[in-house]
Amino acid sequence: MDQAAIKCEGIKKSYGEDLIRVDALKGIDLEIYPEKLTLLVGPSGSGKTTLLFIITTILTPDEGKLFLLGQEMSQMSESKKAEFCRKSLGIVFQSLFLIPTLSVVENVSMPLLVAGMPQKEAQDKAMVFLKKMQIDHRSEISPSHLSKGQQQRVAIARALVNDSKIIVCDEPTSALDQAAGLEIMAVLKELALHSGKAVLVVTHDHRIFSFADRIIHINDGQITAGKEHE
Amino acid sequence: MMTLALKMLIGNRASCIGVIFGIFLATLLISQQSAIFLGLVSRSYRLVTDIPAPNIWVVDPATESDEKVRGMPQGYLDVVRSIPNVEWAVPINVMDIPMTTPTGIFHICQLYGIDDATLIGAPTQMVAGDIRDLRREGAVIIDVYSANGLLAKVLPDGTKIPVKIGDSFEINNHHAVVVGICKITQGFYPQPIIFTSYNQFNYFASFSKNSIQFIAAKTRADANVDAVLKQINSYSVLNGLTSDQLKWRIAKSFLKTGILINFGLSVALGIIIGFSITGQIFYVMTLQNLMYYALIKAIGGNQKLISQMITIQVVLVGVIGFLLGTGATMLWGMAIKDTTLAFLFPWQLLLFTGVIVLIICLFTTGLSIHRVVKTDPKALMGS
Repeated sequence: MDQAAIKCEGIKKSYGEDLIRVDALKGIDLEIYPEKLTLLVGPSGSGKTTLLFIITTILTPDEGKLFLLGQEMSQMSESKKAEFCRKSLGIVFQSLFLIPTLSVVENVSMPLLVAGMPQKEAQDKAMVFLKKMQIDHRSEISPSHLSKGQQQRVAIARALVNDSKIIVCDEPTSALDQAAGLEIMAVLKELALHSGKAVLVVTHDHRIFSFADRIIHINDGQITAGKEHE
Repeated sequence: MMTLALKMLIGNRASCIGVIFGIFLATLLISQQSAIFLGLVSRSYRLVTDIPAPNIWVVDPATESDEKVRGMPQGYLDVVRSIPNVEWAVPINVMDIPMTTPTGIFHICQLYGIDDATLIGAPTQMVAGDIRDLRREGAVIIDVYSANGLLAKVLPDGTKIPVKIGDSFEINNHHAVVVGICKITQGFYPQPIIFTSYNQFNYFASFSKNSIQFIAAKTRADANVDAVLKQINSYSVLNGLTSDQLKWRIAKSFLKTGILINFGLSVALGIIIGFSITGQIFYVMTLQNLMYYALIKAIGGNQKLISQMITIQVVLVGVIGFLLGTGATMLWGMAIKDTTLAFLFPWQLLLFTGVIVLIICLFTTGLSIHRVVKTDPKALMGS
């Protein structure tokens, strides 16, 4: 069995205190493997977005351990963690957060520029990924002039541009029509199969379940099905 | 990344222009109002700056300026001349005095009486005529601004005929003839400035006969100026001052009028505008971009990088606004050159304005960085 790209051991997370305390995650044990497209599904308020943000190290768990590519995150200093995530994690947020005052290629090159790569080199590399996403012909315009599906491709290109081993997507198809949603999922599936990446998609869109190599169900802060590596 | 930071700024065109306008307006108000104020202050001590030959001045201790002056007996001139190391000393009188043009226009002019023998104190820049003609009976030299403006003859069709050599008018009911036209620093009040010899001065202003208002003196080249002044000041009825000391005394008297408060308020208004418009618009722009800064943090950008991005944005708008504001002030200065309006823009004022703009920019940067630093990538959650 491959080493898990993402491994959660007894992850717990709660918000608020005393009477208004909400236990968002109640001990999550989970392994996500490379070359697989894994869906994390569950109803609203089930804790899937909290888990996603813990996996991306944006949130810190109250209890439990998180391993990314075999490295335990709680053992790392904040700066090392930031550097590790910059290199290893690609995130596609639900709201995409494409900067409208920048061009498509500039948006995609941003993670590389943050990592200190010279602008020309970063934009050349960004173009490679835009080409992969078949959106390179619109590289110089503002993302606000693109369709939702095209914007989603740009956001995925931005998540991929660092050659990250782990790609995490939060509701990538929620704002898309069926055709565009299926198209995006095909892209993500392709990434998992042919680029050796671990792709984790948080969704409640049942239309895309057929793309999954594995579906993990989460409800009320607990994994209810799909724990094991299939 | 810094290029992208600037694109984020420029892309938000309305806010970017708003911030630049804030800095521009602040710079313009601060520099232009200060330049007018400094111009007026420098006019107040034009007596000293326009007469560079003496290095010390002797006045009555009660004298504050050429407006608030107490005369000294003529004998005091000999006292000053007798002090060791005084190379020369000459009388200079200044007085506001009534005059009437041939067309019947009445003015209060500022009349200068300068030493007949040496003509020290005469204007250094003549537009027409010869200073030596001042020794002729009833001779006066008038300033070019009055010659072309206040004292010019106005024809019924509105055409102005400037005063020329040979024209005559009355000063305090005494006949005066123009023998020259000079260019000088204009006075604080828009009034004709007229030069005549010391003896003629006493003739025109008969009521101040044998009274000296200022004694301009020069020490010998190897003399200790402080020692000479000490000797002058040992006479309780005399007050010896260097040129700079007299300038400062006149300026202080001028500032007592409350003009500093008026201009100070204008400058303060500029600073408030700078802080409020610039700080507020830039802060709102930062708030609009907050999620993007959170995103940059989420993809590995640290506080230092984001602080640099904000700083470079403020530097750009600050520099553009400052240059536009300073440029506008300079254009204003050039436009009013050779008019009656006051304007003085020394490098110290440029530095002062620059420091104020820098403080506004630091405040703006600090405010925005403080907000961004507090922003956590968690803000992206659920958005």
